[in-house]
Amino acid sequence: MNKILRVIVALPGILFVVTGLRWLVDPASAAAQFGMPLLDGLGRSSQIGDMASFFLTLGMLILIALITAKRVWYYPAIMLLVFTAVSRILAWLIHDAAPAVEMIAPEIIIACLLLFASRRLAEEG
Amino acid sequence: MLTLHLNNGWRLTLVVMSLLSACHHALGQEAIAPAAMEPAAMESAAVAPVTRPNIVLILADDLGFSDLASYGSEIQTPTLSALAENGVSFTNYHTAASCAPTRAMLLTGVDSHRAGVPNIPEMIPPEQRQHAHYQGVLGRNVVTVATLLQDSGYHTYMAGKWHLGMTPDLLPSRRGFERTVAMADSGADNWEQKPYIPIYEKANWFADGEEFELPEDFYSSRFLVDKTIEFIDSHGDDGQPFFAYIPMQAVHIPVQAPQEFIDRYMGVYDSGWETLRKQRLVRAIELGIVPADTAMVTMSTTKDWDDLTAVQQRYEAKRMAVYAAMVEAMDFHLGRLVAHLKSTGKYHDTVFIFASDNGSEASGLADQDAAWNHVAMRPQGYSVDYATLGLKGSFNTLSPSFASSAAAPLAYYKFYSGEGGMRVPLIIAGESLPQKPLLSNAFTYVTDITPTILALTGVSAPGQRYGGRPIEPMIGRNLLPLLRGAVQRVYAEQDAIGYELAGNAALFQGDYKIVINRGPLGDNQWHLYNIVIDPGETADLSSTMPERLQGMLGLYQQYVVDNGVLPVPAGYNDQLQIIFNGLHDRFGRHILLFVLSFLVLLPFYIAYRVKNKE
Repeated sequence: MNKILRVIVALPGILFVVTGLRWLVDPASAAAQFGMPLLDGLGRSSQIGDMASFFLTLGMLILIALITAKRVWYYPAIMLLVFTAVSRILAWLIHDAAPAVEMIAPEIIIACLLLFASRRLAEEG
Repeated sequence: MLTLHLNNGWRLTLVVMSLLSACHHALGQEAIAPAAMEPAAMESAAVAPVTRPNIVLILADDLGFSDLASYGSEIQTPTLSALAENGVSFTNYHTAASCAPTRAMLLTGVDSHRAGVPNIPEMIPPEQRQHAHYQGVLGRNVVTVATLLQDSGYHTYMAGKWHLGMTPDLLPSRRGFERTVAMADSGADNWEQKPYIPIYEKANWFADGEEFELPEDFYSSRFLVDKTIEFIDSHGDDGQPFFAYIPMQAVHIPVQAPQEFIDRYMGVYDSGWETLRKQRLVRAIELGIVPADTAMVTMSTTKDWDDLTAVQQRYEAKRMAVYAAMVEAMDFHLGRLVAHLKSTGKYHDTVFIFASDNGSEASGLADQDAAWNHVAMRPQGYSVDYATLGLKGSFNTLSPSFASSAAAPLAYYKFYSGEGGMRVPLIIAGESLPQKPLLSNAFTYVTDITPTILALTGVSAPGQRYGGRPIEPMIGRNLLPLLRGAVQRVYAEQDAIGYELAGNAALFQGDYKIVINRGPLGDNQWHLYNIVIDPGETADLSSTMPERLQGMLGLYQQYVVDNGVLPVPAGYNDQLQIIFNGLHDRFGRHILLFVLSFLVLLPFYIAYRVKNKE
């Protein structure tokens, strides 16, 4: 059971790392996946820097949590996902953004999965 | 205003101080005080027509192309048949495929994108809402036919569905209507003041600009005709003609009708939708509504009737029976209005215009009787039980399969650019009209109605400014030459009429039409049809007439540029958008409160957990 859970948790971790690398290697297609154009100048620098670091950090946090089996590594990943989902909802409510259900739903589901894994697969500390 | 009466009820009106009529308008209304009016507006308003007939403009909701007896239906519509025999039935009339864009174009003669209503507000995605002309409410840059008539001495009344804005400054009482009872939503229950879908907190009815409670014995068609009669009678015979706009709720969902009308259609539809579709085609051919060799396509949403169980067939047949009953009930109550006008001596001076706002609606569930749907309807206070179908408390719709019969012999439905979504009945009738042909196959468009009303009433179309502000020019044509039988068409062969709604688009030129429909029913490809000889859109001419296709595509691109048509976002789904916009508008504040509470309380929770661990 725990082995299956490890595989299920590892998959999004790897996916996030790959997404982070995509922002570094092929930022135009990565940007299109998130419904945005690739910006120019300072905007492009911020776009690639922030997005790549977000996904690389998120993915590596999950993988480190799996490898070390320390619960504390799960929490930043969960927080990143939850705050992203919450921010998307606020963007929809306040700033006329698209509802982005296809993004919010996986973020919430993976956050719940990580919370469950932190109880089953990890120890305190 | 001084008015002289001439023989036979015709009126010669001397507009001595017609602009004084603007004085009673409150600030923010379309018309303004005379001193501030532009010369062009004064010229428009001060025209003294020789003949000033009353105008009754009736707009059915979601009525399909062949739903009237005079267009091939088995449904009994004697009132509208009588009007058809006393006027002209247009067989190639097109409207927008959704209600609010149609209403905007109908009342202004201006393209829906320029009028601020490119789509119903419930379906506009946030990416488009950032643009001023994509708000889904009637813009201040257009003037309604009601305003033009009111400023020319007409009494102007409205009873029915408005759906062009709900805030006080957007209601019909501020858009040229003197007396109103208006429902501001996309639809509502026909038996009581109740929202029909949960995106609305309540059914928003207004009377003369104020919130309004419906009477206990409400049934939509009866009530709207009663109010119209009340409005007309309220001014007695004061010498001023009237313009009455009656946008019916029939036959929008929920499809509901009185039991006595339902009883007349029990058993009529037991042979199913395929049989009905063929029967309507035969009758439409006999009546000259469509060419003798008209072919039909079967929509992918049309099920095989024989695959249904006997219980399912019985249920589906009753769904359609209620629909037919709702159409007949509408006709019955319109008959009361006609009878009233005859009894009060106003009938001979009245011109009737009847149309539908778009084709038949197919968004009803294919299996409305599914167990889960019985459960899902309960929280809204609705039942879908067979026994009470169509009565108070029942939520009935038309299945996509029977909706295809209502649009027969055309393809597609409401919201789509196929002929089934855009081609609907149009009847213009009146004793006072000149000798006329009974049928016209000329291409006509919803924007033609306002110019035609202005021509009938002798009111000049406004120029580039009205009421002190610039306005969008009308694009419609006056149909009077067609009514007189003086011409065969009002649009020349080379004239192009573009159309777009949520990515579904079309362009008409001569006998041809290019059309694109998005999913789930459409293939997102442009097709070319000759809609005069092939109204069923069965033979795509794209490959055999590539030059015409390319030429018309170029004209469509010009239409896009000229009218500020915006692309729909990737993955746009109109039905999902209704849900998201409904959540945003009705529950947005609750969701925001929850999310902000979560963000505020989260640090305290974490601090509490950490402290406990220590």
